[in-house]
Amino acid sequence: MKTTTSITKQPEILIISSEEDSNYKSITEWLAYYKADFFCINAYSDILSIHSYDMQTQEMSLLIENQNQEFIIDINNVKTVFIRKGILNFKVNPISDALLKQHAVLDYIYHYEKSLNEFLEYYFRSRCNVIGLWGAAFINKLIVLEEAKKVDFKIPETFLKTNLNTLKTNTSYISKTVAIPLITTSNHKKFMTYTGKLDFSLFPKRIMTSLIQKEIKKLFEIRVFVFLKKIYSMAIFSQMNKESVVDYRVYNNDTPYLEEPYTIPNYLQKKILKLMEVLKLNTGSFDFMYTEDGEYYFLEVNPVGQFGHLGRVCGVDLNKVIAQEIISL
Amino acid sequence: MYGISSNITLTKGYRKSILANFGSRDIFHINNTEVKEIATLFEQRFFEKEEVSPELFQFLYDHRMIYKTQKKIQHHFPKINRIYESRHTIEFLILDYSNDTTLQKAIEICSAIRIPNLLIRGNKNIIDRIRNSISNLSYPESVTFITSNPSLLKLKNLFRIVIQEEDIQSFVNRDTIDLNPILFTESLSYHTYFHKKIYIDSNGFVKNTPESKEVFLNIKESNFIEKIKNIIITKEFRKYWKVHKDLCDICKHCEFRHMCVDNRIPFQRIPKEWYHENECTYNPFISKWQGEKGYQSIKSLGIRSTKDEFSSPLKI
Amino acid sequence: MKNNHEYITQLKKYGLPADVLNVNSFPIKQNTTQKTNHLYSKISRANWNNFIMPFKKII
Repeated sequence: MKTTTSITKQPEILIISSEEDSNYKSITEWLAYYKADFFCINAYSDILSIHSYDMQTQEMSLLIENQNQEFIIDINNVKTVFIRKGILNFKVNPISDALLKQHAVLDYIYHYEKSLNEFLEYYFRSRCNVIGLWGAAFINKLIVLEEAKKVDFKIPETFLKTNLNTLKTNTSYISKTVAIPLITTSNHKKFMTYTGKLDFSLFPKRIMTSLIQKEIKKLFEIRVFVFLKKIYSMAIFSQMNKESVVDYRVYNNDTPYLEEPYTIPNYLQKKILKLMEVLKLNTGSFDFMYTEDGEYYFLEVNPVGQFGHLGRVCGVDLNKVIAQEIISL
Repeated sequence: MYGISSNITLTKGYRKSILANFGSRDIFHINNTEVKEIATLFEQRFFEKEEVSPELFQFLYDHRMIYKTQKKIQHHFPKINRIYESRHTIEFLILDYSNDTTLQKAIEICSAIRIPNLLIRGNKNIIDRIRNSISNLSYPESVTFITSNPSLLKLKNLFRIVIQEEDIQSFVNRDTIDLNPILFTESLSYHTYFHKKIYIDSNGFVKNTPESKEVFLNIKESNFIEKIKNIIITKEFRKYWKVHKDLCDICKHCEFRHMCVDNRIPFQRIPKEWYHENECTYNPFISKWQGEKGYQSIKSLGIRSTKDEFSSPLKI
Repeated sequence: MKNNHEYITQLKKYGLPADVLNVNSFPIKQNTTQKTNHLYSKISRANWNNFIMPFKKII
């Protein structure tokens, strides 16, 4: 039973993140370097309660508890909330196993937490700048592809199929996961799926709905990282054509051949910002393919990608850029 | 059309050049007579395969130094602009250990100013004391204990604490020349030895580095932390921080100038012209290290680098 | 499933979505029961297992 005194804070900036994210440490250190007035909520180790809210005056304070400390955060000065990664844990006091076995009790708790979480998001979005996606940060790939087409991006020919035999025979296709990769463990091994070429011979006549795309012959891939209005890109070269003599070096096929800083054309920038508006994103990583005939094909967007490496390729510390952008809002 | 990777740097010295690849960590030490073709390609950044000799093309391809692109998009590959950025006002605090009070004060300074690297020189076994002191602190993030005591060198490194042998060789030598992207970038604009460093000697006197002459305060004084916070932002404390090698007489002709850390104090002749009173162990005019067969001092070549002037019988 | 081949043989039967058969496998590291060390940062109030070390020769 801990006896802690509460510490009260009135920050201008709230950072919500998972302690497993390495950029989070650097971003907060840059914020400290710039003497920003911020408070961090750790998605895994902190437990959150809406400590006090007066709907009449709209004044709110949060209670943050973890193993060793307790904070009361007065929200009234908060101008910006940055959610890097993670789902907030709301306080649910322990109850007996017997109660937990009842569906109705679980429902009660689930909806209780969901309501508070949704309300908190609503509250912040209506009064502050909110950067990042609240909650599971899950983005529907299929909807993204449709919306990308609407803002006039070129996308690879895309299908959803239960019978792969209805695809053209002389064409190369790749299979992509509809939502997330499948990870299984067995015999001390971890099996993880990846986006790869479709081998028709492996499949029975009827399978579950699968996402299939026509393979694009690319010159290189492009990753674009956007944070508010700041855009940074790199070109990723996976392999060179075999020009001549056997390569005597052993290259790991999983690592790209080279990554180079890249500037995307203005029209592509405009489309990216438009797509972000439609998807209600203000930060994310966008993947494209550039083809021999000069076309950029949109592949997907990741709202919570890692960007440290892209920054290094471009010669920029993106953690610093992010801290500066958060402060200047 | 092919492009030269942004991972490649070419640093030209008087007689030889360093071609470095940050991606693969390859370093090539090439005679300037052989470097002309690469240097031209490097300036151009893009070239057609036919423009280049087959041997050179194969070399560049095999060492992952080029990428295949198209003429119409070459303007989309910007030249990388390396800038050193640090979120710490001081990166390194060096302490010559004398007693536990100074140790505690040094750690306090690291915490107050957010200095991530603490280096302690000493021969007494204070490892446990250090471990206990830093366990609940965010700064310093790591402690490097530098000693010549053999029994301490036998100890295993701990979390955040590394034990290193004191290096008695001359500061700049073949083994300490290092290719690393952070050092390279820092060296473009800053003096890699003096920059963001603070030193406390065994009597508590505070200087920029052990070699520095200026003393700023003593940690025995009251309010020493406030005082330190005030002096580290002064021009006097930062006197040598921006004296990068391209401003120094001999160093500007050395192919290793972006890979070395040099503890010699520089002296200013006029703004943008600095010299050293002693030679370092490499002579870039003949590309030989001290101790190597055929080595000659820079002075013996007739080159003068002094307060009054820089002059050389060699064509520079 | 001891390897990719066995994985594919087994999972093929279920008629799962096509992406499931492009697979890579990795050995799983044994769970370390020993306590992992952390650096606590007051700034983020979080525990980290990475920390800054000198990147060049200092003295």
